[in-house]
Amino acid sequence: MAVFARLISSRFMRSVLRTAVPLVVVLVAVMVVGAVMAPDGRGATYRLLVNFLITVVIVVALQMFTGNSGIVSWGHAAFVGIGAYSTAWFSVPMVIKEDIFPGLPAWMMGAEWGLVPCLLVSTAIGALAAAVVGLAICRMKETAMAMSTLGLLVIAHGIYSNWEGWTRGTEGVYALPTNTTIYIACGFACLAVLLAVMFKYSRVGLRLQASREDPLSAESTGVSVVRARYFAWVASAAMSALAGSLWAQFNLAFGPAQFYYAQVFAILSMLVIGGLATVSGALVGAGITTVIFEVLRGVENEGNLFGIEVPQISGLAQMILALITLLILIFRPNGLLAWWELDGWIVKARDRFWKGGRKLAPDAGEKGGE
Amino acid sequence: MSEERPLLRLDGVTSGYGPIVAVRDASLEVRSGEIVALLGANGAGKSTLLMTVAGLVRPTAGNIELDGSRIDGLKPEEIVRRGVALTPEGRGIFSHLTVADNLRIGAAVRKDRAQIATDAEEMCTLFPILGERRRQLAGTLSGGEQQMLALARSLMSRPRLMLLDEPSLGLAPRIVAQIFEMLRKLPERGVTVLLVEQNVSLALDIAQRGYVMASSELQLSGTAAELRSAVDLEQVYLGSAGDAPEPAATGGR
Repeated sequence: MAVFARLISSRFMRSVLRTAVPLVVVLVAVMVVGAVMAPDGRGATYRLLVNFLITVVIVVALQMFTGNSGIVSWGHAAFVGIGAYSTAWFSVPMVIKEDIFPGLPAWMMGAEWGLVPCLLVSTAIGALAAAVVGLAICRMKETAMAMSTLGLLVIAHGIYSNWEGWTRGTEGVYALPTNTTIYIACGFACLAVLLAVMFKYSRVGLRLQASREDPLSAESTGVSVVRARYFAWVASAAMSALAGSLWAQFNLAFGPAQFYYAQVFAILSMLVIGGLATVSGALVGAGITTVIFEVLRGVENEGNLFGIEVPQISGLAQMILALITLLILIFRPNGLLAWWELDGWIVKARDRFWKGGRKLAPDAGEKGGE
Repeated sequence: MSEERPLLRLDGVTSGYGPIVAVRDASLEVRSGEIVALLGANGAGKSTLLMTVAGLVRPTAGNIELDGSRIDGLKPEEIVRRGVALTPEGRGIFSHLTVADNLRIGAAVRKDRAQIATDAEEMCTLFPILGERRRQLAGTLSGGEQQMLALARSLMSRPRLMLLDEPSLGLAPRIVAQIFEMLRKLPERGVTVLLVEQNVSLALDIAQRGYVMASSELQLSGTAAELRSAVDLEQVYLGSAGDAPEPAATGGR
């Protein structure tokens, strides 16, 4: 208990909690809405909310790497895919597995694991894959690194589409067990947020952010930029794989097309809209994008906008999302939340409200000229 | 020159970027407790020389010794650990991190947590403005404050040798005077200084010795007084001392 009390009272944990608690409250609120509206765990709303919570894990995982390092990764969907396929290997019933995964070795064929072992093994495989490719990728210059993550995405897609014996190629995988409930999704979304905030405020996280601001200066200060990037790369890929496993155990069937450009673009858009630099931005971006997508999908599929009949336009959701991302990049290039976490904004708003004027909190000053 | 071992010694160092040679056959010494000025026009290779010492640019020939042991070829973080801190040109502060976090990163190679906190406190006494603004994003500081932050961040690694690249760049004269007053006192703290500076008279005010660089080579060396009276010093700056003067560039490499 004493150790726990000391941890809570440390400055590090205080700032972690200050940032993470408002975000956890939002996530729990989403969960409560879902649990109340669909106590039987069925229906479109329930599905939407659970998928949103899983998306939060994916976006937060990407934020850990891209937000702190400033290097865009186009390849994280590959790790979500690794998590999903790994889960399928260890959870699909044996009778079906013999049919769809003829290449699996005997010991894997017999595995019909539950939620937790599947999550663990998926995370481990994702981390291992990232640890191997990261050895090369993390030594590159910033632009080369971003480019090679794109290569990684294409390679992974090639493997998922063609490694018939293990992935069933483009035909896709089915018959996964439904293990992810809204409570589990929410629990992991909260855990992801907590870990990402802890990472951001940790020594490694801070060094990685320094390298984002000025890599040469960070290095001359004694920061090992490569090591910081590698650590974040592996951690964030592991979290992506975990999300992939959660997702697979909720959506039950998938194919290689689910881990490709459209998904990468959607995830990156969420991060750009909310703001790369903050965990709160990842959450806000995921929320806004999910709502926009849902509304537009109504237009796209049913010609229905808030109950009003409108012409059906296919591809509308993607186009509008791309447009919004562009507008954000033009008018608010650091995203809606820019450099402050939600708690910083709350402090700012409170000060503005009480003091009436435009006076800012001492630790919430606007950024000066670039 | 005295018999004692110099703190920093460069012997025939050649360095540059790919096919471009920016420093050719440079040999110089900095003794413990000195402030040594490295003067020269833009593009003479001064910044590259500092970056080579700091390990950010690899020399293609020659030796660099710190207190008698070779440091060329080591990683930048290892060189920082051995007591060399570079304050880069343009300050290189981390704009979107707080002042306090900038200072913490300055201590990246140190492990003594308690002492790091004490040192950060000390920096805030040394530069009171940093104490006042510790929670602000470093990018919101004025140019002079940013330069102070850059110096404080370098001091956080507890260096024996500080490599300063143009600390007066773009600052108002009053601020520059304040910063140079602080630099003058660095040897009292046990910090030796190799100072790259465009402002010759300011640099020679606080330095005991100096070197003049032109067209990638060290052309002249002497005490501050000798350099001050050297007739052709201005010509060095106009770029006529070398055979192939490079056009003035803002990069200063």
